[in-house]
Amino acid sequence: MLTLIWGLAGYPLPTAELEFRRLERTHLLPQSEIVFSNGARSEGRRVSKSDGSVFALDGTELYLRGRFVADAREEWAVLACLDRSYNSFIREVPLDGGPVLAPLVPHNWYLDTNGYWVTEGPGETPEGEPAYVYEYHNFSAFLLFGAPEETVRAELTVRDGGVERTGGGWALENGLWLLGVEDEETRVRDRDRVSEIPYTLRLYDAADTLLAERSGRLWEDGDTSSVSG
Amino acid sequence: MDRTSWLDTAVDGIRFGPDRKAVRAELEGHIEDKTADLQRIFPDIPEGEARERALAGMGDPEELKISLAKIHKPWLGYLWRVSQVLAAGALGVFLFLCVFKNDYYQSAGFPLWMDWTAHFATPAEVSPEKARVGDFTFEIVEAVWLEDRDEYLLTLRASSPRFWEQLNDQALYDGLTGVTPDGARCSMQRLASEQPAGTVHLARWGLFHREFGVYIPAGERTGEDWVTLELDAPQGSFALSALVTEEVAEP
Repeated sequence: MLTLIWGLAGYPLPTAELEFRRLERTHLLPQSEIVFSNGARSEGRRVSKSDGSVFALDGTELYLRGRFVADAREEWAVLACLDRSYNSFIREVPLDGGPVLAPLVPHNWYLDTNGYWVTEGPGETPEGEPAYVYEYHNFSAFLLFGAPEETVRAELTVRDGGVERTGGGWALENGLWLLGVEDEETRVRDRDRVSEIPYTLRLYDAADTLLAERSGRLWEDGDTSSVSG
Repeated sequence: MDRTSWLDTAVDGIRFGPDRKAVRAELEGHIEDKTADLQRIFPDIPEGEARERALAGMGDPEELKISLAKIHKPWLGYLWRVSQVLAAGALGVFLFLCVFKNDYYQSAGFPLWMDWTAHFATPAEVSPEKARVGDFTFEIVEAVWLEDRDEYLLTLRASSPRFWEQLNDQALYDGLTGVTPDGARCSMQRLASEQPAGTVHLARWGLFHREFGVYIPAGERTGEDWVTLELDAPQGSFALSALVTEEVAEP
C-alpha cells in the first residue's frame, strides 16, 4: 500500500543529494564528489520555501530559486536542478582545465532571475519614516568551474535580447564561483534563449591583473537532458 | 447481588453491543484483580467472601450504569464501525483498480505499470544475452521485421531492482545506435526526420523494468538477419545483437 502511494507520488526521496544521485543513475552518468548544493539552513530571508541558499567564502548568503546540485571530476561536471517543473534539468559540463561557465537554467530556456541576496539595515519607508529595511538584489545565476586559484574578482557580461547585462561573483567552497548578472526589466519576448546568448568572462587577481578571459555562447556544447516532473 | 447480575446491571446502559461487551470484560477483570489482591492481603479469607468484598468495592452498579451510558454513546460506536468498513472498502477498491486498471491513473501521476502495446516474437538467438550499464541490465526481448514498414523492431528491456529509479528516455535516445546486417548505422530520433534514422518509443513498463521499441530501417534482407543495438553512455556501453527471423505486419 505504501509502495503504491509512494509510486503514485513519483517516488520522492528525502534529500536533494539522494535525488541528484538518482538523476545521475537514471541518466547513465557516472558519479563523483558533490561540490555544490544550495541546501544551507539559515534564518532565511528567503522569498519562497523552495528557495535554497549557499554561503560564499566572504559570508554572503546567496539564494537560488530551486535546488541545485553539482558534482565534478577532472574532465567534466554534472549540474542539475531538482525542481519538479519545466525548469528541471541535468547536464554534463565538459571541463577543459580553464574556467567553464554553466548557467543555472536549461539550454532551451531564458536567462531567468533565479538568484538574490539580501542586505539589511537602518533605512526609511517610501513615506520617509525611519525603518529597518531589507533590500533584495536579484540576479541571473551561473556556476563557474575551473577558476584559477588566484582569482579574487570575476566580471561577466552577457548580451540578452540586445541588452548588455553585467555582474560579478562570489567565491564558494571547492574552488567554485557563483556569478550573477543583474536583472533588468526586460520583457520575455525581448529575451534570447540561453543557447543563443553571447558572453564574456574575465577573471582578475588581487593586483587586478587579468588572469583569464573567455567568451562564446552559453551552453554551447549541445543539449541538456530535461527531467520530467 | 452476585457478580453476573452486578455486571449485567452496570453495562445495561451501553446500547452499542461491541462496546458493552468490551466494558463488561474490563469490569470483570477489575473484579478478578480486586479479589486476588484481597486474597493476597488476607490469606485466610474465604474466596467467596473475597469476591463479595471485591464486588462491594466496585461501587453501586446503578450509578455506574448511568456514568457508562453517558460516556459510551451508541452513535460514536456505529460511526467507528462504519468508518472501518469504509476504509477497508476503499482499500479494496484502490487495490483492485491498481491491479486491473492501472493505466487509468495516468492523470493522477505515473502509473506503476502499463502494457497496452502489441507483443511480438522473442528473438531466435541473442548475443550476448544481457549487458549491464550502471545499475541497469539491458536485453533484447523481442525482434521482428515489420513488412509493411520495412523496418526491424527490436524491443530493448532496461531493468533494475531499484523500482524507484527508471531509465530516462532521453539518456537512451541520445546514446543508442542501430546497426543493420549490412553494417549501416543509424542513430535514434524521437520524431521522424528527412534523414534515415531509427526511432524509439517507450512500449511498456513494470515495477522493475521499462521496454523500448526500437525501429530500424531494414534495407537489404537475407532472411536471417543479425541486428545490433549499441549504447554509448557516459557510464558505459554495450552492443547487443539479435537474430531476426520473424516477419509480421504491425497491428
